[in-house]
Amino acid sequence: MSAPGRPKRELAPKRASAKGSRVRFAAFPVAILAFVATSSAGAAGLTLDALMNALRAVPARHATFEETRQMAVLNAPLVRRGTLDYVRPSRLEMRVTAPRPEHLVIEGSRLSVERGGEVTVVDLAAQPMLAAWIESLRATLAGDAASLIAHFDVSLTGTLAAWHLTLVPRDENLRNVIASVDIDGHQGEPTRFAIDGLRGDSTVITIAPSRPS
Amino acid sequence: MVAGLVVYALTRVQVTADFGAFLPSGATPVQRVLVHELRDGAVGRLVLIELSGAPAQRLAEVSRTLRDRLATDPAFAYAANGDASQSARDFAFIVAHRYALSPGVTSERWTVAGLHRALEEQLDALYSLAAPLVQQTLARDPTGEALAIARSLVPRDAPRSVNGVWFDREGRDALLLAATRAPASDLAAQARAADALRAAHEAADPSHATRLAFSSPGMLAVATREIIAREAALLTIVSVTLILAVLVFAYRRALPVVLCAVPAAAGLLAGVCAVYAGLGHLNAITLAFGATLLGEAVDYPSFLFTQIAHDETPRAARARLARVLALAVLTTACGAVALIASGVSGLLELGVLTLAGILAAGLVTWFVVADWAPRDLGRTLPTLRVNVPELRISPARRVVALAVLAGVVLAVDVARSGPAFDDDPAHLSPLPASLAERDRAMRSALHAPDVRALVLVRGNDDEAVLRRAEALRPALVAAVAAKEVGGFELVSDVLPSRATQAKRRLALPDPATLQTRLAEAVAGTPFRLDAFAPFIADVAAARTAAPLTPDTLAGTALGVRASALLGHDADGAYAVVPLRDVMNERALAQRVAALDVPGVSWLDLRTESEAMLRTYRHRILLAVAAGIVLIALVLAVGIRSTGRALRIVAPVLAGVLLAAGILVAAGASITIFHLVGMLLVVGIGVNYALFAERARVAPQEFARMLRTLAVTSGTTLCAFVTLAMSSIPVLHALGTTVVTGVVACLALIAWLELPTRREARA
Repeated sequence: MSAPGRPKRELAPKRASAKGSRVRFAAFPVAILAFVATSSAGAAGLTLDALMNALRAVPARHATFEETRQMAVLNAPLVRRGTLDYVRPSRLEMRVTAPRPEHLVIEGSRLSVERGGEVTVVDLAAQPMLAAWIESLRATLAGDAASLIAHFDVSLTGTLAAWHLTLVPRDENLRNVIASVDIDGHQGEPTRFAIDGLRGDSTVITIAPSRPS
Repeated sequence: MVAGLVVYALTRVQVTADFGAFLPSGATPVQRVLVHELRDGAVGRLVLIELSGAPAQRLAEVSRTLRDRLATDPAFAYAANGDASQSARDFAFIVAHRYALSPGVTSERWTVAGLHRALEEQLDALYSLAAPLVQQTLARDPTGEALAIARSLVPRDAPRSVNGVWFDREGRDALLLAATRAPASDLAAQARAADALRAAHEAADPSHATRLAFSSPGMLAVATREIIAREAALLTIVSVTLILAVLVFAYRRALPVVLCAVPAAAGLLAGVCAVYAGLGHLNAITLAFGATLLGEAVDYPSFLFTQIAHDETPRAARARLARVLALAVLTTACGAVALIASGVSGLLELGVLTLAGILAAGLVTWFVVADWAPRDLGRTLPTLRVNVPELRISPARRVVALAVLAGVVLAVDVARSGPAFDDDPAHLSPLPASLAERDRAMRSALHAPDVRALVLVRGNDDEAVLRRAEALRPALVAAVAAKEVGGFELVSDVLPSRATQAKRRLALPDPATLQTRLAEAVAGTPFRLDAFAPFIADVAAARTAAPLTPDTLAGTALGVRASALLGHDADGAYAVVPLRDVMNERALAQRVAALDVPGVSWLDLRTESEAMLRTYRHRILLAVAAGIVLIALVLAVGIRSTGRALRIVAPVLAGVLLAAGILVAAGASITIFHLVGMLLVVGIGVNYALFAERARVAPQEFARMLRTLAVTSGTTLCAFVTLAMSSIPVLHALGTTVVTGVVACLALIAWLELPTRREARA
């Protein structure tokens, strides 16, 4: 369960052993404290508020993305490409164009997935794990600090020009699947989502803003 | 996430909570299963636990500590709160036993083409939202068995998870599920488990920041018992006080009042001993119930005392009244015999208690009370100075009028499309509405689906049942596809038969063959052959693994489900198959009926339990009828006159009919407890009619007869009016029936026996 070799273990001891659920709860106020400390650290540090403000200033986003999944069982990474659209407050659309087309629309707590002509609709309220996982992306794009904090232990480093946000899932079930999500960006534009799975597997999504066609 | 499936084990508890412990043992095998499940089944052991009154964080914390404590508590076999560590353990179990559990394990699967197809499917999943899940197990399980099993077992709408543990829909209250080791019918153990649960909560939350609430069939039964005991105690105090007041008013001396209590006390003692000696156990509810029935024994000394003439000694009165007193006792005993003969287990206890009690009370009255009563009691008794109203209607016309009344009441009852009988088991539950409501709310929060129909699979042993369940599966799958039903739970999905497990094991290739085939299958995919070494090792291990048994499953969510679905009784083993979202019951029932699998039957719980109560009611009705005939016979023999016996029984019968008509008209529907009450009314009414009829034959006794009826009906009404005030349906039904019945009987006896002018002058 531990993640040796992770580059940085930030402000709070968030790692919880499989049994040590209490550690996680103890970690929560610590994370908040640490977060407050970061927020009030002064002119030099970037506050989460400031970053969220910058993200919220963007009303809609259209971008192309490339997802690269690396796994121990694979000879070569799996790469998916497509477009990503976000419209305030809660609509996120991902259209995978290659190699296997998939169309995801998330609106509020409703997720619909279209794949091979089949549409599956999921109520995210009933799927906390999936909801948290999606929220790492959507709440970041939305600049929704409350939602991020609700689902993750959040830590922030860097400057507004080059920031780095680390999200560790609060949900233990999700943490059994995803160790953390690391997001890089500049100003109001997230550019790279790195999802650390377990056993050295990882997925990186790079995002390049573009004009809607 | 897998822990969420234990919720489904709850599907049948709904019925359990509605049933009392007084059910008959069931006439058909299906009914026997039903009753056995309710009393001793795994479902009855499940406890729903709710924590509320604190922020979600705190609730989740207490939920975890509580779960850990319950998991190690000897009173509990299992505890779950949706916590990740439990889910992870359950998933690890599935991964470890995937080749025994997965229906996907066929020899087809292990060909080069099969493996290649499986790998392609995994690759496709990696290109989807499910990728993080698939990644977890890919190296060990490239055919994706474990996830497929987990997905098929998890209910679509498991309880909501907040802070990693189960919460209700609103996210306000934390929910847990536990299973007691003791069956629901072991009330003492259930009470201990409830105490252990409270203690565990106390330890988990010493600051009392959270509130604990819980519900289970067994613990509801405990609560019911406590409530009945409490209420019965209160009612007893009230009615004893009222009865004492009547007796003190009547006798104005201490000794006769005390003597009135002696036969009743002796009768209760004798009754309890008889039940223990004969049946070996005594239900607390029977005791409460029986004590009221024996309250009638208070009347025996009163029959004697109030009949003592002015200059008569109690012994002389006893000798004069010997026959009437004996008949009064024997007719009531006939009613008790009818209860015993009904063949209904709960009523058997009651019948034995009443029979032994009444006989003992009669003997004590005869041998003790008369001897101890003050010799001059006759002088100090108050005389009733009532102007007896006269009825200027000839006796013959009165009899005709009585017959007409009885006929009309019967006709009205029949006209309303049969008598208004109530066979809904829920209405018999002595459970207060508030507790039942709480149980429903928790059940609903845990997303336990509302299931009233299920399929029953019977067999000689587990293996036979599991094989039949597997044979049933295709029909259920087809029913789901045809949208007749939303889903089902089959025990063989968590515990496949040994035959199926062996078949799956045999399909597994040896390591060398698998290695060769996998090498071929991997070609053309981005997967690395060497990454699948754990897979090869797992398959090799699975080839020699011991088969899954109920014991292997113990302690996991799968085990909870298996033990909830699989049961044993005297007829062998059986599996219940709960159904979710039944949309087309008839089609489904036909589909099951058309199946060529032995031992499989369709079971509609509601219809079945209602049918059971109907049978039950028929038996009691028969018993009541037999009791009345028996009483009439005893009377005819005792008085040596059929005509007089009929004259005694007729107004009582009409009174019972009238009372039933009044109750139905007042909106009550007749339950089996009303019927028991009717039997009691017959016993009491016949006693009154005996004395009234005697006065007609010997008019000089008219004033004494009035005194007798005033005192005895006074005490009886005090007791049963108090009972009618009870909030417990059983006691309320009994009270209202007896009060209405006694009043109706008295009115009709008066109608029949009031003197005409000529008789009054004489």
